[in-house]
Amino acid sequence: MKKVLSVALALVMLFAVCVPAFASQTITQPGQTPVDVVTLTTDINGNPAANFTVTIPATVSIPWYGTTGGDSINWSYTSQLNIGEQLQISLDKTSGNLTNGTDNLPYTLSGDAADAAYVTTDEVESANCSTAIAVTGWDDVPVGAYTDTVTFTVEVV
Amino acid sequence: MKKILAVALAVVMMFSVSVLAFAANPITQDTDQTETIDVYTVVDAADDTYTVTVPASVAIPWNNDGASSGTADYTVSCNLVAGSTLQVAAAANDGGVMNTDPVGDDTLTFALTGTTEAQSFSGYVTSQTVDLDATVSSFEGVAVGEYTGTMTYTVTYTAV
Repeated sequence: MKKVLSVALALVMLFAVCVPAFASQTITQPGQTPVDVVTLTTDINGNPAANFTVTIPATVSIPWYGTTGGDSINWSYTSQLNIGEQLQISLDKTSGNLTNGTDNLPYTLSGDAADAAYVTTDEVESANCSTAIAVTGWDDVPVGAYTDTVTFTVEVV
Repeated sequence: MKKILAVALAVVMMFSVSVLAFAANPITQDTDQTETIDVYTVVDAADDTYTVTVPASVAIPWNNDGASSGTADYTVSCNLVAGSTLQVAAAANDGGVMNTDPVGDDTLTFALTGTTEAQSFSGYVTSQTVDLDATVSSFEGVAVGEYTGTMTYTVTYTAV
């Protein structure tokens, strides 16, 4: 049994040595030989080539009583995905409270990624987006620094 | 009469025996003890042999930042009689256009770079490799995927 296994393993090793030779073809007669030229979906280092970048601000500052014309979270994206893929950006909430201790300033989100998840329409796409943030109740709380966190989730679908 | 004929035939036979000796350079006790003989091969174009080795396929890695190439080198070995020639040429089919399968909205284009002109070979050549690449100059604005195009190697042999 050991001898059979060792012979089998030696044959497997020999076939592995032969594999690179199969990657070419020899021509010994005149004529035309077509050869396929194919792009890979990985780069020269073997890393997946599909990529995207979603840029969101680290912080959004809202003046007391808000900005005339409204406040918003401005974000952008650029993508070059695999064929058939799209980028989906969503938020973890559509409303919340900016808090300072026990005091709250309620706010609502609307627009891009707030009303519904934002989904790109093409594998290769870039755009500037805006999610409006409307804060209310300014006169109901002491003036101060009120904060909350909005989480963006990006997925390739 | 019969005796005359017999003597004549004997003389003819003697001369025929001598013919072989007339065609050579005889070595005798009075000449040099060595003599040279020319030995040469007879060749024909039917003896010509050649092998051109080309890739089974050419793979080009994706590059989001610029151009990228795949190796399309070919190797020639030949043993041709004087006057016989071998020519190898390579060309991109359909202008190098590359499509997905099934065909989509995006395409890529490759071009041959390196030693793109046809190469001629003659005589005795051992594993001479010609440098050739298939190059895509830009992948910008194209969905990532397997795009396929075709190139053709053309081998032309001319016998002497």
